[in-house]
Amino acid sequence: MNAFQEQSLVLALVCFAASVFFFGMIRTSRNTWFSGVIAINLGALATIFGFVWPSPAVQALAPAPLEFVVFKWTLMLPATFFAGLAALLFLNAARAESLDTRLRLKNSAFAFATFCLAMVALESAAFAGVRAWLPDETRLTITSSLMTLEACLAIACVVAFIFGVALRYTPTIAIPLVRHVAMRWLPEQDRFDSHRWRAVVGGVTQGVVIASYRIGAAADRLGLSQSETERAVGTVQHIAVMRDGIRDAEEVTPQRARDLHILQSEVVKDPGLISRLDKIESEEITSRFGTAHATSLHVELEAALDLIDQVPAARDGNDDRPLWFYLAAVGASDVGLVDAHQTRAMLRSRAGYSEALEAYTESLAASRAGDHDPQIKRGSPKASA
Amino acid sequence: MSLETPRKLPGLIPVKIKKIRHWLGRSGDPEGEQPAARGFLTQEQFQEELVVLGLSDQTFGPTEYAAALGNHLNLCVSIEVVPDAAHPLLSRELARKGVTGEILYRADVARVHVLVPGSLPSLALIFTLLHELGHLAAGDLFVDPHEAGMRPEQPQGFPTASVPVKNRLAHSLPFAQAGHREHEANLRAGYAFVAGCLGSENPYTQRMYNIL
Repeated sequence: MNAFQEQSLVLALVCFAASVFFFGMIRTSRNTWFSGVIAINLGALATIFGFVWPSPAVQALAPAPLEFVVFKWTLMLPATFFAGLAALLFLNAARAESLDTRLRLKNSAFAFATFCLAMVALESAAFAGVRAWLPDETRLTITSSLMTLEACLAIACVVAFIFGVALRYTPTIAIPLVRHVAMRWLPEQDRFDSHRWRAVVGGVTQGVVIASYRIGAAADRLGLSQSETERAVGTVQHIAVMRDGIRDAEEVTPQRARDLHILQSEVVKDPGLISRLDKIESEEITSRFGTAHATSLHVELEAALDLIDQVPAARDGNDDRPLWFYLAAVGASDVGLVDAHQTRAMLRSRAGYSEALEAYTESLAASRAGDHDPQIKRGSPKASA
Repeated sequence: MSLETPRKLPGLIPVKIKKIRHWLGRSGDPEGEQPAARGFLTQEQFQEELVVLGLSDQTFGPTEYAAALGNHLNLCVSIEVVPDAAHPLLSRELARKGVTGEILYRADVARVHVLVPGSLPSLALIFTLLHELGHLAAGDLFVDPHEAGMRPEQPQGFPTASVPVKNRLAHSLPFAQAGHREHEANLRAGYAFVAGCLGSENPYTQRMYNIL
């Protein structure tokens, strides 16, 4: 087999491999048009491989037979088509408005490189025609010019490819964090929230309704904001769910809640990601889920775990807790969700606790007088016993 | 006694193509795709689904996802967030059943109805909607429980059930076992939640364009 036959065999194999890749991968990704770019790019690379294979042992400027034209055109015209298509798709990708600037530049470089590749193939087809049909003088002049053009295009192609490959893209939000949120935090948070909802709505945790009502009344006396009141009530709900879950290890146990707290911490400490949670388009369905809500969930769970574990100081070392925390402690003690004596012993020295207890007791007395309390109990809240 | 005549080349071509496609991991006839075993959905595969729906680089929520799914599957998909004040028994009934939402399919009117109680916390409400829509995307609503129930687990993944491609967005067949279907619906909901929040900033969206 001479070099000429060898090159034709290699190019034929390359074209066949490119076709298999093209049709195989297009179907794999169904309607994902961009996978076509990947497939064609592979084909284009394979074609480059064909180009760099040893040149035929024929004189480049010598006249060529008609068979040479047929051979060249058969190979080069499909190569021009596929490389041109790849250039077009890369160009479309580079024009995508949502794309990062660096990626747009990268795809532009690939578009230029594959366009040069298409031009090389086209020039090669023209070159064959010139060698076959033009007379000596003209042929020598034109073939020399075409060879110079081919060299320029090849250099431009290689430089553009190297430039494109060298451009490194780093996403603004790291993929491991996104994976962590999607696969671990969200399902676990949903499980916890759903269980909390089922426990409250389904009436499993009776004390929560009573405590929520009394906390609301006490919060009015203390002048707490709505979000602070919600945090106090949320904390009591979290404790109730964990207490309820102790009976069923598959549900929400304090240990699973601690694991969830760790997952939340990893998300909450990334302000870039957490701020984007506001962007979910759900206005028609619910109030927006976002930074404030995610942070609240984290803070409520932390407070609930601290009350269950009887941890007096905050985890950041701050000894002074917010008023809503003490109110949650009083409410949870009142309905027996946490040990009243231990809680009082732990927090009695804090001014906030005394203030919350006083407001809670007063609101309880007031509701008793007006019969508004969902469960009228004679006596003081357990926390004050 | 029958005599088999050798098939001529033109008749053999479709058979050979089918064999090659099978070798490449694809079935030639998606309607008759045979149940096999597979792993759970990856974030990259979910991104391809979003491209099909036209939501790949957009922020979206459950309503947009439902509308896009409905368009793709030629179904009317409606979401109803039921306020507790209007229907207090619904929440209690769902809570007692241990679920936070339901998806109902009516084949006669080509309609899918997703029902969730309005008292659910924000995250759980969105997640529940996306979870239920995930079942629709996977084709879980069309799994025949009698056909799917008996498939054993295989070393290369979990067994699947046959559902025509026109009834699902997912490229792969739905799982045969309910537990696996639930887990994948959770995964799909998580992926959709993140993709919907991040839109074009989703690194998986950008990575589709980052070829080399």
